[in-house]
Amino acid sequence: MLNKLLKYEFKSTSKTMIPLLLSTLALSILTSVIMTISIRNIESSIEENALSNVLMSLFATFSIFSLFAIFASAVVLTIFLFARYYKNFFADEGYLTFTLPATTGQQLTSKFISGFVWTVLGMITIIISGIIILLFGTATSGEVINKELYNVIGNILSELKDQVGTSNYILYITEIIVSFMVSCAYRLLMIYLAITLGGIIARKHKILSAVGFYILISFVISSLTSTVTSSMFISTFSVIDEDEIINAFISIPHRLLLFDIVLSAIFALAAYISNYLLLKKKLNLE
Amino acid sequence: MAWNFTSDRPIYLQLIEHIQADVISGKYAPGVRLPSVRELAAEASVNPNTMQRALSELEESGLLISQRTTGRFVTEDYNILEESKLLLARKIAQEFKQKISKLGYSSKDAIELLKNL
Amino acid sequence: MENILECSNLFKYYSGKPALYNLNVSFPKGKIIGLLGPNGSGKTTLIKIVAGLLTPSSGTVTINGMKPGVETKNMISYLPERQYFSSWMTVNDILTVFNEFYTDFDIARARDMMQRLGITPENKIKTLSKGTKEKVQLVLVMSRRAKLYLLDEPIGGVDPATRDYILNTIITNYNEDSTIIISTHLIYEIEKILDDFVFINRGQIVMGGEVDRVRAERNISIDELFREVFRC
Repeated sequence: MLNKLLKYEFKSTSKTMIPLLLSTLALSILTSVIMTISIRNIESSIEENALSNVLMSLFATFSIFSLFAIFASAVVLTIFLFARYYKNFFADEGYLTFTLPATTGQQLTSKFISGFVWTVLGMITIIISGIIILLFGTATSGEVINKELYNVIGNILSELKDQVGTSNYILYITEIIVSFMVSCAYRLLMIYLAITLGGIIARKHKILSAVGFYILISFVISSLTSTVTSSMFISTFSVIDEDEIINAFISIPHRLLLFDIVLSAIFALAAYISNYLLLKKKLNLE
Repeated sequence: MAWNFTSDRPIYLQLIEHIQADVISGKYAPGVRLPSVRELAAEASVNPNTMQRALSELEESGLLISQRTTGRFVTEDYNILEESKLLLARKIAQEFKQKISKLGYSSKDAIELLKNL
Repeated sequence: MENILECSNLFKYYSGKPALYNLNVSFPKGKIIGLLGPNGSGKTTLIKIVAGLLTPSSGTVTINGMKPGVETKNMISYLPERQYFSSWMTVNDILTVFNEFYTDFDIARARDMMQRLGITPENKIKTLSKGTKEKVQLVLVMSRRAKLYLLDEPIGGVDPATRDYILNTIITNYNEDSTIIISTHLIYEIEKILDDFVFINRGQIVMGGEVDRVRAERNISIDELFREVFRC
């Protein structure tokens, strides 16, 4: 049943998501082409003339516009995912959703998985778009990519690798990625929870209440996080003595990242379970 | 085309009358197989349960004969058929008599009226 | 198990107001039953609770002996008053959904009915007229071989020809092992196909029984009985 739900979820969402992601990539490629043309033009032109000025400002405007557009697509993607969750559960579509022979857990999990997959794909798309623009768009004549920037980044990374050792370096990268994914998951589940709260508790203005609930939840989470994190921070630093300082530079980021992962996982679980219980015991479709 | 019913009398009784009339008029000749309950119900635009009830009663009265595997058939027993015809005719006549006497006609006047139609 | 649906001491409150108040009712198997009452009497609330879309405030509901859940959803075919299609769906898409999620869905029959209605499967549902959308939903619901059909106002707001079509679809798709509960306030149109009736008002059961018995004993239609009972 979960597979069927997932298939149905992806079928519904791909129609919007895939064009969105592809057009974001396309836009970034277009932008980088235009940027690099402008840059080469600036370099090679000896004199300014009215036409080249106009072209330059057009290109500049276009570049700025597309950066905004790429950023906007991230926003659109997010809004679309949450709109779908709301519509599919709490609007008229809910009459079909909740009469399908699937358990509450299956319904919630399918929304989580599809939301998570699209969020991660969206992030990846935006990162790739950013890289395309930064590396290819800023290339000067004679190069394909901006070698200077590429080298600078490469140097920073290998410096780091030397400082902490290859195994730690790989560990860091892994931890950063995992921490990122887990916090994506918990943020997603938090918003889903807020929407459910809005959908179930509010009689009118459900969406507005959902936003309100989200603000409330975020506030609670950040208070909790800062309290727990700062106490953990303090305890971490208090046990350092002379010999350990060098090791500490390596181990502290590990500990913080691991701690962050665990905390996010707990929040994610709490959000999922509360959502599940609400949907199971308190569903009241208008 | 749906059969006509009034809602203030039991529908199953009206169905019985309707089928009796169909049998007597020859629409369903003696020995002929009737359509299935479903088909009849669909034709009449009624609940199959109600049609089933009507048909069961008609079986009990002998007008219809049910053979489990092959279906329902109109009886070939001419006595039963004649009796049904008589009962229906009596009923119609009774209704006529009631209505006509409300107008003030005596039985004799009523017979005259019928003769001159 | 004689009854397909049993409700005991059912209460449902909305912001302090009772939509269902100590409701007790049983529905037998194999019948077409009218759930009849004025607007706001609790018909839709009761149906939505049985379908699993609302949670009761207190009391129990059992469908074929089970509480509302996945198994009961498998045996219930529910026709709501509103349309529940996603905007991107074609008729084919929704047929696929029903076919994949419900083991008792007769897709051949559904396709046949759609074809007779002149509906092209590739059409997007949002391009269909309101009346056609309602017919599509009805076809989907009646093409399931369910144990319990819940039809909420199936003929409200449609033209007479469509109404005949809907009543005809209900009759022809009916089978002896299932129960059909039709909730409506248009009693005159529907009473000819009913076996039993239940009157509901202000969240409580007022009266119930066999339709033909009322006609035999009192020589009135259910519509007339309703007017008598619910006289303003």
